Amino acid sequence: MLATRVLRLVGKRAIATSVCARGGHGVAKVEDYTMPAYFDRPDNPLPEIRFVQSLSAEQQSLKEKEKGSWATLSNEEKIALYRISFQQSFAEMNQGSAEWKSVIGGVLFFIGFTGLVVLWQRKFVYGPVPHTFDPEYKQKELQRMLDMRINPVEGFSSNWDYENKKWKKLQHFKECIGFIHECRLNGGSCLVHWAPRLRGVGSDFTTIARDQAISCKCAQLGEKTLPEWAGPADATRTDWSEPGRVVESSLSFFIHDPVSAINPADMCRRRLTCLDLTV
Amino acid sequence: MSLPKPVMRGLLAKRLKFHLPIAFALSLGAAIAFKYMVTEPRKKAYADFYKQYDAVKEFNAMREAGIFESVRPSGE
Repeated sequence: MLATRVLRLVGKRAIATSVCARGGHGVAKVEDYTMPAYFDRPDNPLPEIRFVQSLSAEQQSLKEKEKGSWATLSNEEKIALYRISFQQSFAEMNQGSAEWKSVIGGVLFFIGFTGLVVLWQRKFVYGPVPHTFDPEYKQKELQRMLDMRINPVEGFSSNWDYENKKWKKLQHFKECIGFIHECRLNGGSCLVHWAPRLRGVGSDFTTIARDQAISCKCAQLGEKTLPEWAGPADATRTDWSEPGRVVESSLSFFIHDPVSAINPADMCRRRLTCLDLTV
Repeated sequence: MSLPKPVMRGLLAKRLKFHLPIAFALSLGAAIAFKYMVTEPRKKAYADFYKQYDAVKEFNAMREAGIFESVRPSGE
């Protein structure tokens, strides 16, 4: 602005004079980004400058006509005037695009990549976990928590049966085991999904359900021993023996093995009896 | 071009008239659901627990387990 005003006053020949007058530093070049810009924004509907800066002859004559009465303008001329002033109409600037698909894809890709980085870190960067994660330590910790009656009303200790010194059976344990039993009897498979809380309740079910699958397999191989359900030791077995196993044990596991030719109904019935479920 | 003139006023009022009753209803519903699905069962669980609670028995059991420092198990 200042530069153009100076030029107009002193003329182009006098630029050198003005340069000297300013101490020989010269006039700063006016950058594009410092000048008013055009942009289409729904929240800022009237930009500071027209979209088309340099008008053709036809457009200039249209602009002259615009200075008169607007009733004489045809619809096409009104649209042409609009397009001189604006690049996109509101409908055009608000329309959606398919960009979100690329965005979601990129986000998921980088999350996946981050997962790989985390895996690498676990293997090569992190040191060993503290000794407090050892199974024996965890067992003692669990026992102490039960001794202290941690959350005896609704939480941790409420799931422990102090009379019989074992975990209380779950609410719908019988139905779940029955369902798995039926699925396998009919030759099908059963997907078991459970969400563990680090309190031994979920592991109760998983251990028994897993043992049932394993024991049926063992039965095929002729082994007769049943896993003993003894209490805290077994509770720690699945849940937090190793830190990584928390992730593993929280995944669904698939009980799928072909129904034994020996006598599957009798086999599973014996298992269920031993587990005190066929009352 | 003779488009109808768009609505220029009362836009917020119109939106509020629609959304406020829904917001209040949903919030109230959430509060009621929480009360009857969480707090009432919890109150009942605590009441039931303490109905049959024998503090002395529990104390002795804990003492025997050896968790206290001020009073050791009766054997020692």
